[in-house]
Amino acid sequence: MTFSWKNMRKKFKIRKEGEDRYLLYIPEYRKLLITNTTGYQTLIYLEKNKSIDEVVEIFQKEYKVDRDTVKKDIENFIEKLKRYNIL
Amino acid sequence: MKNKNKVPKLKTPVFANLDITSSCNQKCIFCAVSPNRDYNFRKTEHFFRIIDELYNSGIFEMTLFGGEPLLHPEIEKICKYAYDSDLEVNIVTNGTLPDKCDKISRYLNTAGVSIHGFKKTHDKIVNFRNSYERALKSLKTFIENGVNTSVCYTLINQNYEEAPEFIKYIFENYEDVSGCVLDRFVPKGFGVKKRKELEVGIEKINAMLDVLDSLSKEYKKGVTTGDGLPLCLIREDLRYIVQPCQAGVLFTSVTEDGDIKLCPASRTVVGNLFVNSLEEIWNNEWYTKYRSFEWLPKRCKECDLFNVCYAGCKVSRNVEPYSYDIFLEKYEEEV
Repeated sequence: MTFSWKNMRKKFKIRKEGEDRYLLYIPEYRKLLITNTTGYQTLIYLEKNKSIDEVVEIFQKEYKVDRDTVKKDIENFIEKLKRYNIL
Repeated sequence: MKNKNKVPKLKTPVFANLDITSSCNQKCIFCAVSPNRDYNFRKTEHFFRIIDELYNSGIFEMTLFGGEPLLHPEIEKICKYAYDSDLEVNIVTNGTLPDKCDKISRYLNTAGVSIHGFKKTHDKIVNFRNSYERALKSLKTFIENGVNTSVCYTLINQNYEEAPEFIKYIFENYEDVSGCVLDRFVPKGFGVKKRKELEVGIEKINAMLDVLDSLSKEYKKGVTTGDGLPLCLIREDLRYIVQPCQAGVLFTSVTEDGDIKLCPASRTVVGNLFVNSLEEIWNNEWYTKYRSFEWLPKRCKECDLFNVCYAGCKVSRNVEPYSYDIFLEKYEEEV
């Protein structure tokens, strides 16, 4: 499944905070979330219209971790983005 | 002793207030800022430099504050510049200039209009005839322009009794209002001398939060506090309403001169954006000591709620540069 990224940039702001920490701010909800490099990279891949399966494959290769774990993590992250109307 | 301080250590704050002017056309009896009537405004380009520094420092959201920010003759240009810089722009206004509310709406993320009761009470509190009608007009203007708009209600003894009825009136008559921000009285500025007359105790604040909780559920509106309160003194089921004081942790306050302060009500200047970067100021000795929270009462430092509470309002005791919350004074012997 590919998510629509339309207007996504306007729905949140992001900044790097330290080695493996990113602050994600959602103005509509005035909510500040903390994510890691993987979360940040997921956002970038989604922006490039990659599907979940494609993102899973990239992380699986890069970090050499099992597919189900990666998929579950990404789905949880996407669920959070949907909750705040980003996706 | 186990210190529960796990507050986030950020390289710079993420939220900032910017005082557009220290002048105000009202004279609210409780005002913690004590604005003047000089009407001397800094040049627009001066604010552009401040906004550039805030944006480059990683600020996500900037709230225009004062004084009354809409008094600035070029407030629209300042809002546009901040908006074009990709900052989220909020405003807190007394609403006496509805036409300007209309002009800046397109640049706003949220707006807070200060209204402190029905006409008779409100106009008396703010010392401005017909302020009430103007404020309601501004509220309507923001709402009609699609801005996420709340009423800011400062709770004092003079408007305590009518607060439930007034907030209900707003929720019923302004269907698209986002909610109500309940501000507490902070004995600074004009309010210092009138503390005994104005101040509402923690028991009455709890009772009012209970009312807000019911109204929020009935009308499906957001309710929150504008200032911190010690969560340990708030009834457990009402704590969700209280917004922790984010000063020095996530938030900073910038004056029209570029001075950095803990919060708008604070008098202590801890740096200036035209001398040092926000990152340098945010990480200086003063802020570092503040964020250690070693100066708090033992009760706060060991509290399980500390990291969602941040120990209430740090300027409420009117002790500079900061202190523990005035409602914790009875625990003073433990400091």
